[in-house]
Amino acid sequence: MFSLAFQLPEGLTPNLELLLPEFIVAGTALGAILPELILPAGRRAAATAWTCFAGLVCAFIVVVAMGPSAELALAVKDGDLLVSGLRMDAFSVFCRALITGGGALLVLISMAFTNRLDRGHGEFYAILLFSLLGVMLVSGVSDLLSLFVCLELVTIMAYVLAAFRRNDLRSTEAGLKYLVVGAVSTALLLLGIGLIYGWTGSLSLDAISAKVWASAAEGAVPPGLLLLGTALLFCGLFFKVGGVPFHVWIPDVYQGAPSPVTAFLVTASKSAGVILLLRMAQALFVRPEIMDSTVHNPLAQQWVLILGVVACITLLFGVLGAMPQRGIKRMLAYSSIGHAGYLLMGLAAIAAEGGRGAASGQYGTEALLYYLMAYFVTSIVAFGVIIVVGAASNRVEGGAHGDRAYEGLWSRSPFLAVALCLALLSLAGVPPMSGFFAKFLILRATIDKGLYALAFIGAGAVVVSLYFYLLWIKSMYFKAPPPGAPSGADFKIPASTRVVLWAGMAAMVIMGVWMPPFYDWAHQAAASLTSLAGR
Amino acid sequence: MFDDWLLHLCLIVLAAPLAGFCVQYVWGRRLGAAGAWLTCVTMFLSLACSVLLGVAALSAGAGFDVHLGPWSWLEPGDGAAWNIGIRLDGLTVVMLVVVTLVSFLVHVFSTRYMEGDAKYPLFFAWLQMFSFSMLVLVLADNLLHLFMGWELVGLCSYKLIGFWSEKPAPCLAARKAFITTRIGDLGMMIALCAIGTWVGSFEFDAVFAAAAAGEIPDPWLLIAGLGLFLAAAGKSAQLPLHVWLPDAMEGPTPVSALIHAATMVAAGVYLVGRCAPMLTPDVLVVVATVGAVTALVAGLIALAQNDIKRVLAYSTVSQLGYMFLGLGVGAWHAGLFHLTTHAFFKALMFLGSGSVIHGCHHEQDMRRMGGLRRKMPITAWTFLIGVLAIAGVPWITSGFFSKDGILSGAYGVSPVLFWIGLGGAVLTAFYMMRLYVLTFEGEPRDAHVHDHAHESPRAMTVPLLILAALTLIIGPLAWHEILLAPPTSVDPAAAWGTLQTLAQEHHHAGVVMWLAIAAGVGGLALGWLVFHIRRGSLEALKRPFAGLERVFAEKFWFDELYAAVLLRPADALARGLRRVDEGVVDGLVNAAGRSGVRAGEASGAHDRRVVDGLVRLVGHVCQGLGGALSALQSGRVRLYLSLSVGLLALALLLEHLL
Repeated sequence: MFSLAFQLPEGLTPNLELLLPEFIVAGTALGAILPELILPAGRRAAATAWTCFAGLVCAFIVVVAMGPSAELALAVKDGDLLVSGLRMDAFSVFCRALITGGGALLVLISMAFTNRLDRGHGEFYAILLFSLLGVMLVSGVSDLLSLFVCLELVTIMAYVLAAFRRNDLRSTEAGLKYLVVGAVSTALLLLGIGLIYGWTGSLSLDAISAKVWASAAEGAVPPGLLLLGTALLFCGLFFKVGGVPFHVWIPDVYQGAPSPVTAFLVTASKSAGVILLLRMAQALFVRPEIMDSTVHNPLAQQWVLILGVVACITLLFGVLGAMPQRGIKRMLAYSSIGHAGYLLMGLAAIAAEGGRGAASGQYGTEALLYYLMAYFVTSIVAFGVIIVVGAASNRVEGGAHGDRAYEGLWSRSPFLAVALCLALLSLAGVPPMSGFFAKFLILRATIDKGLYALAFIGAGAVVVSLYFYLLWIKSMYFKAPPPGAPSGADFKIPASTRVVLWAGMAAMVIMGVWMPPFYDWAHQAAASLTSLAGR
Repeated sequence: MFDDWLLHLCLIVLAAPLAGFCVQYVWGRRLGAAGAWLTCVTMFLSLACSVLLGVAALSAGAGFDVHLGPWSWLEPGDGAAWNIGIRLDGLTVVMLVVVTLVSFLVHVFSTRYMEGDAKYPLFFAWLQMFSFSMLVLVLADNLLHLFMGWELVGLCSYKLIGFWSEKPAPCLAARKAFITTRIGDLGMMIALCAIGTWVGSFEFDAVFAAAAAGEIPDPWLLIAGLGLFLAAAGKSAQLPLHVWLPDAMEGPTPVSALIHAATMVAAGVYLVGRCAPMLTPDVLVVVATVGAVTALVAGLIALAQNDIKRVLAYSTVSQLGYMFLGLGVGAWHAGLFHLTTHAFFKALMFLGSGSVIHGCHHEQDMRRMGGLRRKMPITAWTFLIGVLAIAGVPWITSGFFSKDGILSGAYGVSPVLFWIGLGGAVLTAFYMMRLYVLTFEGEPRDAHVHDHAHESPRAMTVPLLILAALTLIIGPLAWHEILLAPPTSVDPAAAWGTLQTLAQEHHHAGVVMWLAIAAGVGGLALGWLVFHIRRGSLEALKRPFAGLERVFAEKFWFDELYAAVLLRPADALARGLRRVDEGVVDGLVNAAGRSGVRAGEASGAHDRRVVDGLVRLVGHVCQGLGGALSALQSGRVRLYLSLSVGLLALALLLEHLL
């Protein structure tokens, strides 16, 4: 039997204070509508944004105060079923810290965009916060039903955000496309959940994990039903992260959606997919207390191949597709597909761990978490610049759009150029930047699990991707500004964006030079994920 | 507790210049002159902490050897750990003080020297970054950590040589320096790979212990040692990788003083000195030979140079050769002590030359100088002290003590190396006296230059005075037991065999000392005689040696040799490949096209329909294909979905069938 939300097993009381960050974010989201109702028009935008920022920072502080410590994980062991279907372990603390912290930065860089709107600030930020709330909840799911509900909270909000500029044809088109493609992938996801339930008779990830390993211990071949179910479920999640063949929506939607929304899709929304993939992979493939024995998980063995192939295709599609792109958002969309390829490589490494039947370190999970962190920071810096440049281009009469707006950016605004340049280098994975270690850790995980072909392709793709990232840097630094491009004075960089860019650049460099503390966080989170998934 | 103190001091030493770099790089333009003085303050802070570390080392007494850390930086898998760690011993402390002191003085000097430069703030930013990088290198307690500093100083050197990037010559020089040292770095990487494979740890003590215990198989120990020396030779401009250093003089003169005389180029010597316990006798022979030959050859080239900075550059190459000679023959202490004394007197002379160049409004050709002593007395007198020190004038200059130690070490090991070294010593004294006389003594040869020459401002002369004083007083440190104490962690005799004991026995052997004194003083006297007293008959004196002079002036044609052997073939290969591309590949394509056209023409009008039809068919096919491809991302959602779901169904079907 599966248990419904709020229906608690015997003898457990809801441990609601563990959900305090979620309550704060939800409350802030509701409060974000107020300024629009009571304040005069000129002050609404700033008031709304700063309210949301404050709420997210509060939530962040509460999450960090919980700490990704072992004590919390133990305390959770007693009263972990806060509500059935959610689990607040160190992994979810890590993810929620990432989401609230990153969300706060996202709000800051969005100000350059929302300041220009004459109405709808409340809607924008409220929807954004609800969606972030969804991602926070996603990080704690422990059964398939809450998985579906939380994921839909993220996705439905994202549909609305993508179509936020209702009068803009491209934005509405993006929103509609996103909705249609998303609906189909949701259908696949639900079908997958149904099939898995059909085989295991439970929606709880722990129960599913137990059943999979029990069948593996008997040496049984996993039935087609289970494979089909997991395949459909993973397809639904590939849609979120942008894995081939469910990447099709990404270029159009990323390009058409307002830039802050694209930033949200790149960071928070994508993280939701990655977090769920990690949870599912842990449940289905890895079980540390059994893995020391000789039991091999045949399901994981099958998935190594599938994930490996999908990762390669995604990776190559992303880096090759990014080359001819002329618009920076479209380029970043393909680049984001390429990064999804790396994330899937890490996932293949996790599956390989289960398939090999030997627990030899949690390199895959840690690598993915570190990757998320690095990618979050980098993307926010990149989009911080893009939002400002986009706003300036719109302000200038007949201003240059697309890549033309970035030609010769260095001579017009050195600050923006340096920030974007560092972000692109980090995306490419050049050493003193955070992106380097992200890729390094993924490659280490794949090599550690013996997936040499995958690692080779991954390393080769870095070289290919350098080409188009450097082309953009070259165009920013060495081309003359095109006529009609916004001049230095046209770039109005709000203080909020300026702070985020400085902090982001510092973070990228620090994470790229001295990785250990960040890696330790990821490590703790990963450890809690494995230690709890087995129960 | 004591260790905590040391750690905090080390962190300040490192953090001060790094912070200076960040502030200066970001807000330098706004800060202006205040920013430059701020970097002086950070450097002074770093210097003060280094001196405190030195005091701590002295008070700790003999055998001072502290390891801080290590902190894990990266776990590359397979249980290996790449760490960051700090090692403090007599050698580190001396290097710290040398680097921070020279760097501080150069910072102060530059505040006036670089005045009016368009990129004034950026200059100080990179000086700070360089100081930081050099300190990272010096403080490292493992090879990987050292390698990071090693590459960082290389980058800073590149940026600073090419500081005036609007002129072509500095850019070319910067590129040459970078690429040449990269060749050496290849050796470093080979050594790192060998050590990483056989030892698994890069920590000095672990590597030395493994080498002593024979854990590294013989050929690999040799390869690692040679690799390290190759890296050192690249960084320290030893034959045959010395070609970049003279060109590096295109950079601003303070940079030449700091990076290309006192500190970075000495990093190679430091590396070999640090790693001495793992170098096999075979490697040491190579080190000593290369060092001796470099000392002699560079000295010969310096004889025939006319640019004041180039003479100093070749003299640096030559002196670095001496240091390697010392290390190679087992006179470990003397080699590194020469590094220290050389850092001071060569920085003194480079800054002095900077003062001359500044005073003469960017005139660098010695043939147009002369008689400047009366115009710029402080510069001249301090410069003379530097000349006396590098010549090794006995007892009053520090150069005597270090050079004498090296020569007596060489005497104990190999007479050939000793005589080469002694010949180099004569040359050194001779060409340095030439430099001094041509610049400061005699009659002014260019009235215009001379008339406008003036003594430099105090911010430039005070560093000169300080360096001159240090040049005179640090000599007796040669016998200090703690500073520059040889590594205690590993029994030196095991690794260097008898070489060192031999050198010890002959330390200050009387005959060697007198020969060294004779060489130095004789060279100076000869120089004075030829270039000052008998100036009039110089041309007549030179005539028999015209051929030789040409060889020296052309620097033994090293550049031309490299151009002919390396660059031109590479160019030719590239050009050849391009020709293949243009001629053969394009030709084939064009031929195919042309033949198609010809065939079309030949087939005549009667089957025009057929051809047209074919062409149209090809066109349609191409358009169809292109259309299909672009239609994949056409923006039509129906297509997207059918593609996604179709592929999924296909994959599932395949899975089922297989």
